[in-house]
Amino acid sequence: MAEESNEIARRARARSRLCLLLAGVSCAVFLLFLVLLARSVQQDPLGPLRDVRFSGIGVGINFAFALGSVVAFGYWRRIERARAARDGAR
Amino acid sequence: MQSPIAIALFVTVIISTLLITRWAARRTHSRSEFYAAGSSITGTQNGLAIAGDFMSASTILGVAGLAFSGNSDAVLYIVAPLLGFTIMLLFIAEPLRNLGRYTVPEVVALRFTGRGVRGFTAAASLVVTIFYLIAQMVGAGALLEILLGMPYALAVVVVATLMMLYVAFGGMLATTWVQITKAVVLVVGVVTMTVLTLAHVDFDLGSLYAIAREQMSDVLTGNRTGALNSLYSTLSLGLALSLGVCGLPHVLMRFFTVPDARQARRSIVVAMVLIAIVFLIVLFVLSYAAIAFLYGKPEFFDDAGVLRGGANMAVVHLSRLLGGDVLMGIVSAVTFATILAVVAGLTMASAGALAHDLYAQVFRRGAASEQQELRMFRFATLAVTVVAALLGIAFKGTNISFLVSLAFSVAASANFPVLLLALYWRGLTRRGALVGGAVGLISSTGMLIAGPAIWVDVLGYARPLFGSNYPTLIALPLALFTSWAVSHSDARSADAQAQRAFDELELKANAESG
Repeated sequence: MAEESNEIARRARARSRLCLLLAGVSCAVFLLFLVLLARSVQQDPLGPLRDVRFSGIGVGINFAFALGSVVAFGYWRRIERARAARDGAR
Repeated sequence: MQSPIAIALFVTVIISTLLITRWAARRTHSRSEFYAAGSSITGTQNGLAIAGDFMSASTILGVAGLAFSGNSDAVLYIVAPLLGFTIMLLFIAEPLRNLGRYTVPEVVALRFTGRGVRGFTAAASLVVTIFYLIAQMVGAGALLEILLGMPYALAVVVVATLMMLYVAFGGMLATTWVQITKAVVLVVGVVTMTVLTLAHVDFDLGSLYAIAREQMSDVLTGNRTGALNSLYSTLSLGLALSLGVCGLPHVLMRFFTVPDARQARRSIVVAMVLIAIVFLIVLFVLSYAAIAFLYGKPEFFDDAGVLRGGANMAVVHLSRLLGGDVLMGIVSAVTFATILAVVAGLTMASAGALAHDLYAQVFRRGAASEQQELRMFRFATLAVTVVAALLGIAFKGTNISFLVSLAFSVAASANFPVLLLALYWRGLTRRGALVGGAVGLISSTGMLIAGPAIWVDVLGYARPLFGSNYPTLIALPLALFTSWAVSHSDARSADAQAQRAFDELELKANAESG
């Protein structure tokens, strides 16, 4: 029982670290894009709409990081499941 | 603007959703079925329902309307929610599914026994959903008034009656299938419009942007009142729109409808992909098409040069230009279905907070029978409907985006910090959760009231007490700091029960990860 609790706690810690890393990177990219957007609008209120490439790349990168985090998290989950199955078989 | 096709499609939407409700009502009897569809929804179905629940008419029409009127905030409204869903996937969805059964306050109450924190969380959920409901009601009234020529008050009453029928009789199962239907119809609708738009420019997106840029130079001057005009407002609105998603009770409640954590994760992935596709199309195709094709066409503007029905109707006018009355009828019916799906989800969350948390647990201290609780759920649905309809009529003409941002700000400043800290911080005490959440709720609503949109525009004062309409950048850190400070001041008389509860909660949240 204690062993199982320790394993759950270890998994929770690993998961928290991974989630913090993934969320941190996505948030940093998002904040950077917000700063660039605000700067662009201060120069030209229509800037982000007029410059489709700027908005497109910005939105694309943010979406890629968001969906990339999801994929990375799913991959980690798969590894964890495989590991749990191996441990169970032993 | 009303056409026989539009009216026929509206009636089709109403009949289809009522048939879904009738089907669901035959399968909905117990408390679990009413609140969580018996946890029988698959991850993919729930993902579609989350997308249907989240993408409101104000998001779709509002974003295109913002871009059409030269307000670059449209880009921010598109980017922020996807980050919110990522954070929800990484930190909230799984523990919520593993720990709760019907409502979000129930999860927080696992950590803090007694009635205080549960009562507060339920009340904060109610505040968020009511603000959101008012926005949807105001939007629905205005939309039906323009599209069908229906009087505003009657339109609000029709929408309110439908949402009451879905929730009171069909519960979460009917709400889920109305949302799934809406999500599918919405995706089909925006993809059809995209194909027609691209056909209009020989499938050359570059030439669409070139025409739109020309129109911008000729007609648009750029909006100087948007959030992006100051760095503070940009960051504050960005924070509200992203973290607010993680505090929206009607979205969070959807995780209780799936059987396990694995399906909860799949739900978010499906929802994120769908939302990303629709948002990208709305911003990068439909908004630019509206700018490119509508400006310079006098039939879409009134004598004062304003787009008929306001900028929010840009997509509807674009549909008429691209596909005549048939496409306009389809787009109008899709928009109507969009509103119905969102208000059903909101009513479900409000009635759940009232019946399950406030009535059964806070007032009756868990002594209410299942039958009594379900009776109260139906009564709560009726009460929420009446309140939403009255407020929808009273708030006629209020800026919808502002009402939605109010809901997101409160969700990000009051609900999100309490939920996150309850799930992840062992040191949080009952007093810390209560005082921190209350500070988030009061400071965010206080600053919104003292801001220009209410203090100056509604109350008529010359100068606002707080210089911005976006309080989250101050209110959220304030709520987190207060929770931390109060919990630390409690350290000597450490809330041992809450800490033991955290250890159990951590095990349970991670044990059934699937």
